[in-house]
Amino acid sequence: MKKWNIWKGMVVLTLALGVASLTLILGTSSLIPPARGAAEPINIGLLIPYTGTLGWVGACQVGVDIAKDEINAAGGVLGRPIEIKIVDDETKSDAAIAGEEKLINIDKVPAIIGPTSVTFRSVLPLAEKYHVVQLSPTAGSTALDFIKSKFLFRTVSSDLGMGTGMVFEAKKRGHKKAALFYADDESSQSNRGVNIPACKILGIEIVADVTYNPRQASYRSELMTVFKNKPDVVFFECDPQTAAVVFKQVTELGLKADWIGTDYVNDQMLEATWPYSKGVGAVQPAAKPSDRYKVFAQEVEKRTKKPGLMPLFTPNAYDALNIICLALESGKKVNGDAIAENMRVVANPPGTKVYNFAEGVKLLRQGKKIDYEGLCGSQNFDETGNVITSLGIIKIEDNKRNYLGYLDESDLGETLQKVKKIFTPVK
Amino acid sequence: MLLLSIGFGIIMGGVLALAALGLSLLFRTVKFINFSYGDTLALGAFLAFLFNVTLGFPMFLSILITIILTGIVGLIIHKIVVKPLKENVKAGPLTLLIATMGVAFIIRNTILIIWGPDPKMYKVISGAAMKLGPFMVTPIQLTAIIISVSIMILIYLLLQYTKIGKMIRATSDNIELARIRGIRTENVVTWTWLISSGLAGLAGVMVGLIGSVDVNMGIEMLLVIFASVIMGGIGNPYGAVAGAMIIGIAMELSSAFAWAEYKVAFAYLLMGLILLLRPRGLFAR
Repeated sequence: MKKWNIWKGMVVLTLALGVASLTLILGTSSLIPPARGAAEPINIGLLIPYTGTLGWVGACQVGVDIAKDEINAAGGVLGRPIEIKIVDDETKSDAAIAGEEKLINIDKVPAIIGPTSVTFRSVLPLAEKYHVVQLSPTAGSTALDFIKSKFLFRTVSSDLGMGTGMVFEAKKRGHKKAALFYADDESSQSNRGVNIPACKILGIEIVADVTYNPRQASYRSELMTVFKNKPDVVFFECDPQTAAVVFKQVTELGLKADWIGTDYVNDQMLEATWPYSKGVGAVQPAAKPSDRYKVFAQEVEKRTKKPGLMPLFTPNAYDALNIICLALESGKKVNGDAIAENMRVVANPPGTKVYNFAEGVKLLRQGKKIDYEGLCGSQNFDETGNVITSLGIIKIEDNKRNYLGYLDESDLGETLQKVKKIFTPVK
Repeated sequence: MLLLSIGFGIIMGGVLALAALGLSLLFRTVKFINFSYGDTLALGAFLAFLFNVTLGFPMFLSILITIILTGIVGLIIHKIVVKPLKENVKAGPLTLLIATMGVAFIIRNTILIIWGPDPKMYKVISGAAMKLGPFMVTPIQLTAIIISVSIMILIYLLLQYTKIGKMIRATSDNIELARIRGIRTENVVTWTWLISSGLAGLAGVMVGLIGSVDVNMGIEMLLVIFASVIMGGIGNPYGAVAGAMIIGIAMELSSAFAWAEYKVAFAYLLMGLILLLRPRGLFAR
């Protein structure tokens, strides 16, 4: 008995020492100074979810990695290489706040890429307090449309465009009756808040409006409520875990309608729901095809080793790091104020159009003005740090997300202006 | 719509009842809440995924192996964590609850490392729902209910008519007296951990069959399982089954006729109301 206790104690002690050593090594590797003669890197934060309901967003990191490698290959910013400091915000406010504090106070980042709509407003006060640029490539929440902050930027359109685009597409398909099926979180409610006035303006009757609790084992009753008045189209947003249950139960119950979703209709959702999600569609941020996009997509494929895969928001994340680094170069100072003051200088007209960091930095060092054109659109920031990016219309078929077409927000034109006048942003 | 929702509630309640039965059975014997129960449930779901999808075994065989393996996991938790704490430091129920919280984190993160955060599905095609009177049920759901009910009957027969069942009941009622009467209570506790954890694994597979398999499914179901156990009367396995059925039906009815986004909160509200009327639970001993 005594021998067994000693043995157990040794096993536990060895495990504990192993975990502690690993933590120490990983935690202090950043404290090891760079080799003598090497320029000190500039840290840029990346605060996005890798776990939680939006864990699928983390895949867009590949866009940041590609931009970082291009930037460092071009000599870096102000002669210094860029290093990305990554924190998982777990799709939770408490983890996002802790991550933001760590990036700002320990990693000393002057800018942070991220987070998503779910946690953005939790971290913005910290960004303002410490004068750090907060640039999200994913947060579409309409709550951010009206916040005027020097440090707030986005390289993805507001949900105003996506939500309007969903209804616009439904109207084009001839649908007259719609149901809404959204979760009780900020991102979902933001889109729902745009669908409602858009339906009113385009003359589509809302016959059901169900707000659900995500990640439950059953949605049968909710789905029967959604389909009670026989909608032609269902506007929805479901994380992969919820979608796995929803679409299985939709198929079981034989409920038929045209499903049009948001940016949540991604490859993770597809993997979780196929074949039950056959025919499900979406209107979501997407880069329009171009030669430049093709090259970028090949690089993404090379890195992810998944042919045909373009994780959602990857081009937006690529644009985000490029713009931050061009702003750093333009401002010539490594602090959030200098970056914030130069974001519109490098991304908005007037200036020579440039399409990557190398082109931009060459002209900046010659004292010339530039206008960065993103993969997803012009990336011209308005007074609230918002941009206009393109939307893709997709449909799930043959276990793939296929693009049926694209919408510029200018295609939505008049509809978007009318929706803007009457919609209420999510609180 | 009312009968349809009740039918949906029976499906959900049936699976919940299986999970609640296992937790209540364990609590009755060991007298503390095993917080790792939910994650053992999730582990069961993922083990079935491993055998059914990754290794290509038929579902029935995958379920059998899963029940055995999760039973063994429960046994390991008892032998390595609970028993040493009880014997060496005389740990009370609160300490054991916290210790099993730690075990829960270990299990959940192990699942995350091995299988990742994305949800999974078994290689079992769900099929369209059939109309059975006013209810709609798929063949898989019907099978899940039949399995759940059969297991509950088996557990009842085990507890009432077998030697081990009588020993479990005697140990639960009074462990000291049971020892004096010559019952090897340590063996009884071991068997209870095996049965309880096996039930958790089976419940996890049932949830995976009617829904999906997800790393957080265990912790998310655990609170609802607790509510079922408490509502039915802590330590009464049959009460836990009844509590689970009530909660399953109540959640579906609230989704259909009240607030779908508050269906879980509604379950707790109902539990609170019942405890106000019957503080020790509906079927407290």
